[in-house]
Amino acid sequence: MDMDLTEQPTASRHASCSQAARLLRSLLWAFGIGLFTSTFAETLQAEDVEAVPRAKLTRQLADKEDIAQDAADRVAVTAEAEAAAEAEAEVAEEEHEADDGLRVPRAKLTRKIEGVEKPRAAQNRAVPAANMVPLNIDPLNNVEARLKKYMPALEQCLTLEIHFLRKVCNPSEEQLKPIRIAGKKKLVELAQEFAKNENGAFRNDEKGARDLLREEILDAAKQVLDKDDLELYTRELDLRHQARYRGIAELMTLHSDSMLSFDTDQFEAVSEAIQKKPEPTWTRGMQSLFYSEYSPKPGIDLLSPVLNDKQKQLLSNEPRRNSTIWFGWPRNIGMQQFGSDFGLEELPAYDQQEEPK
Amino acid sequence: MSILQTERLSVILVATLMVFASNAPQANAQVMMQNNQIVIKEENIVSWIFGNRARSLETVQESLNVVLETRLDLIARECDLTDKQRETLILAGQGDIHRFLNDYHTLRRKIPIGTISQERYQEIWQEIQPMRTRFSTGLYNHNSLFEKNIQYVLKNHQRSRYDAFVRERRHRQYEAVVRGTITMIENEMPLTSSQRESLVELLMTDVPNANYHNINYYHQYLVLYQMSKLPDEKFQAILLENEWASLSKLIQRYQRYESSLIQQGVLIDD
Repeated sequence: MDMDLTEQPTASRHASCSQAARLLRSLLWAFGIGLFTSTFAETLQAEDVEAVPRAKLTRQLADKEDIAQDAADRVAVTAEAEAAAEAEAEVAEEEHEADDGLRVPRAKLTRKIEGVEKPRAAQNRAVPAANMVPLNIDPLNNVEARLKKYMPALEQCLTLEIHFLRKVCNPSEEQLKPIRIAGKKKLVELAQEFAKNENGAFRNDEKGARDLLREEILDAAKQVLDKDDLELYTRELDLRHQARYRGIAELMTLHSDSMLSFDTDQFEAVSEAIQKKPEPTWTRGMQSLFYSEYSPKPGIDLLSPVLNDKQKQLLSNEPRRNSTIWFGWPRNIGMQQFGSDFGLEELPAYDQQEEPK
Repeated sequence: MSILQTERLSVILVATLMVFASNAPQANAQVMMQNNQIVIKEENIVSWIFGNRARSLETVQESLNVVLETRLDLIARECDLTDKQRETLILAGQGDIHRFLNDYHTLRRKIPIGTISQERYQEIWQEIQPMRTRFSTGLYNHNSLFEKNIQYVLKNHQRSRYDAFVRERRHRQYEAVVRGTITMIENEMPLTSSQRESLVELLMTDVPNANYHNINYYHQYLVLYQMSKLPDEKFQAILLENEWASLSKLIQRYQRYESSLIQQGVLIDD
């Protein structure tokens, strides 16, 4: 029996037709849903703007003013960018003063920031990406919410530092009160610093957020602790600092050892050499220390006195890595080191004082 | 995929994306991501496997030979190797290098140069990752020709010196890992100097599973796993009540890491 191989069996044809029908129906549904969603979203957005209470909008506008001010502090701001930031601040201030609860149209705002004197034709021209400044001028951009995002982790940092202080010298409640107040005040400052950047990158200089918080607590402790207690606390802070850099140096030495095959004396000498020249950035994003390819690496200048010629040759081929990988802001302040928070809480009472060895 | 591989893969993917994003002047950064397409160059593949130190396969081969010589120098000093023993061990070490490079070339032939989709890139990465780990953990592990030949070429008095040397070296490396891991823990649970040293002492003296071999990789997991096997009282004697409550929750998670550590060659299965 002859059979037309090009012809599909009936059942299969039916299946194809029903599939096509299903596909068409899905497309219509998708289109319909898309149309409805976009219309609904627009309506919501419009209602949202109108529904914002005046007081809240005023606060948001005030927040914008802060953001505009923050923009001026950003790193590597060119003169042009600075001028733009000032203009942004000026616009935000004008809005704040007007307090009419209405948004300045974005086009108008952009014109003002790019330069009011420019003719309209010039304003319409595309601005080179390098000259653009992040505006952060959306009134619905809630700075308060952004601050709230950083506060829980920072509060936990304060809890840890107070726990450490109490464990070391067990101050009285009266002594603790001003220290807690100073710490909490600092937290707000730090949260504001974090909120300047959307990803929570903290300024990358000598001191990280944790260092600044510790310093604040130490300053407050100096005002209230007894001489002996203060000495004990300061000493423990120093030892903790040293231990941190020792741990880091040991891991860095271990990574170098896998390539350079140190003998025991060299291992000690390399670790000590690294500890003598610590880089503050090593303490942030410490996860990278556990992976040889991402770990910061000591330079040949530092290790040269300890190494033989073959080891020097190997190390000279190795690119120096001084920075660490960005694992997100919580890990940069030492939180969520093992995936989730420890959630350490203070004890109601610290009866026994620790005696350092 | 094991727990360690999953964790490690996520770290590597995050790190790789960071490198893409940062436009760092490294070989990895030369991979271009446009419209979900990735452009792969020869040097990218070399750097994925051999790390950023690798400018080309020739420099990798040269470095591997110097690494072998450096390692041999160290053993020769400790065990007074004869020229013949040294020669045998060089051949064994070069055998390990060739074996690895052969595997590299086999993998390399599977990877296309040019533009590929992100999905294909993910598939390729799955194959690259074990090779990369193998290279990073070192070519001379307990299964290597080099290590097997050492046991064969050394005379009795040399072997006992070699074993003592390996023990001491492993102990020193383990201490580095213990101190590093405690440093990480201290970020979320600051210790006093007294607590810190007691904890180091505990972890260095009470090692529940001493059959660890390669501690160049996954080492923090090895320490946390060892901690999970220690009796609670040992920690309770060092830590405050709230500290132990937090730490115990962490280390409990690592109780089931044994099989993963064995699979990765960190622990040796009896």
